[in-house]
Amino acid sequence: MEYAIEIKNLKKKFGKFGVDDVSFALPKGYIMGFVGKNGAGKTTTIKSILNMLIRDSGEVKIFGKDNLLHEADVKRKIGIVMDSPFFEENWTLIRTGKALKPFYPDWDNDLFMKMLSEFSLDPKKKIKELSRGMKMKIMISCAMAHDPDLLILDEPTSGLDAVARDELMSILKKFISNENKSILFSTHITSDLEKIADYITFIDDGKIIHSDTKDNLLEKYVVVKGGLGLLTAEQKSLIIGYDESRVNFDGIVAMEKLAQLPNSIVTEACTMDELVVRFNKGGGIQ
Amino acid sequence: MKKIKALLKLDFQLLAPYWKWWLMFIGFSLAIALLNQSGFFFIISLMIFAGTVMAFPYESTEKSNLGILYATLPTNRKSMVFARYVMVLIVFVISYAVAIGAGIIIDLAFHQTLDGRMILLATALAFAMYTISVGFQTPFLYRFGYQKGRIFMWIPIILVNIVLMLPAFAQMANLNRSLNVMATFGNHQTLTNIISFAVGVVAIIASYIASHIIYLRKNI
Repeated sequence: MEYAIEIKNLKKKFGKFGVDDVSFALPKGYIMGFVGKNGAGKTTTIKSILNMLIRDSGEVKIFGKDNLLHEADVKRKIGIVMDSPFFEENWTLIRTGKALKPFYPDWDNDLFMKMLSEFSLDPKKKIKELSRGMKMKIMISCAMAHDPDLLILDEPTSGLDAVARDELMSILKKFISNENKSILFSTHITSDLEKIADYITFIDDGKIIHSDTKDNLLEKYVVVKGGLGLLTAEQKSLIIGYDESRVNFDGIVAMEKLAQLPNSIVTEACTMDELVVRFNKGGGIQ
Repeated sequence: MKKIKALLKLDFQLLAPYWKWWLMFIGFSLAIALLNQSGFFFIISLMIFAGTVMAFPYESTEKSNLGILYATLPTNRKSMVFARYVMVLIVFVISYAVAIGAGIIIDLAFHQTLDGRMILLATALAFAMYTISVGFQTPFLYRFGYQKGRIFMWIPIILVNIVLMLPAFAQMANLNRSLNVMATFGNHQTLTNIISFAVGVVAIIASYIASHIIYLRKNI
């Protein structure tokens, strides 16, 4: 299997933040949602992939090439969208495209202008005059105008309204329809994942909790509910994101551990929301 | 080579909006020249200020989050630092052309002439002042960014301008012993030229190496 991204034992510590022994892989042609609460290590991981943060140790490969040794080659095939714009605020949109064009042999200016038109962006407007949603669209246009094979998006839907988020998801679906294209996007919004992600990687406190296909993860875990007093302490420890009210408890548990719980508990199919919330809460023998 | 050209083009695009600062520096240098009644001082002063102009791409980078833009481009940090220093040399050539032209005109206005030897001296000193100014500040700008690093860019300017303005103030204060900077340089021109060029080359090379080391390790 070919991989768009392969990360092995990535370590990066700086101040209070960092990632520790992060390993996961994005197969070529798929979309991976990179999930975790604020401060979990998503942006640190993405910045390490882009060499914005110099990793302490570990390996990062993009399409089989080390991202440090082949930095220019690797970045030529990556389109990047961050949660805030990174262009000179006084540049017009046309000028922004002109500034980027010399760096990419595959830059398609017709495609760039077409995307601006499809997004209803005035090419003569300045970056600082754009709304949050428009800024995301100009970043997408710049990211896609040089025909990347990999799109990396860091919290792209943060601060967007539902319509804008839906638009972005449609763009990503269209992009991924080419089986040679791959996408890694970080988010803490679970509805984004349910719409388009093929793979999900959970990160918490700088460590990878899970990395698997979305379907496998949803099949691997089940929601459990029941009355208080039903479980022993040992059984409670099996439940991920254990939560209790005055009379009931709930959480999720791995399917292979379900047999260790009483027959009287209620089970429900797991949703992405439940997975994200419960993994963030922690607990359970994972 | 294409990448260096592209980086240079990008860097100059970041510098272009600061044309008003250029005018201000020319005005200030003119004031120093008039105070000393010499085009020579215009040349030296403008070249020092030209060095500070090289800090503005860092301001632009910080203000607009362009560190991320540079990190996304298909190039490496070595090339970025190299291109920035090529820009330093290009700005020197352009600034010096303006400085020498205006310096000659100012001297003519004061009925003085800059002969070939003085022009060579002015070139050597201008090169030294510019490269010391840029060389000193650039590693700090790479290390601390513009907001924190900019204080360092004024240190060489303040020190050198104090020395340049001493002759005028000495005369105004009517001191018995006045410092004659022009005479000192003029009496040892060849040595001054050699030392100035050498200091300038060493300053810029040392600065390049320091910036290279700092930027390659920097977390953006």
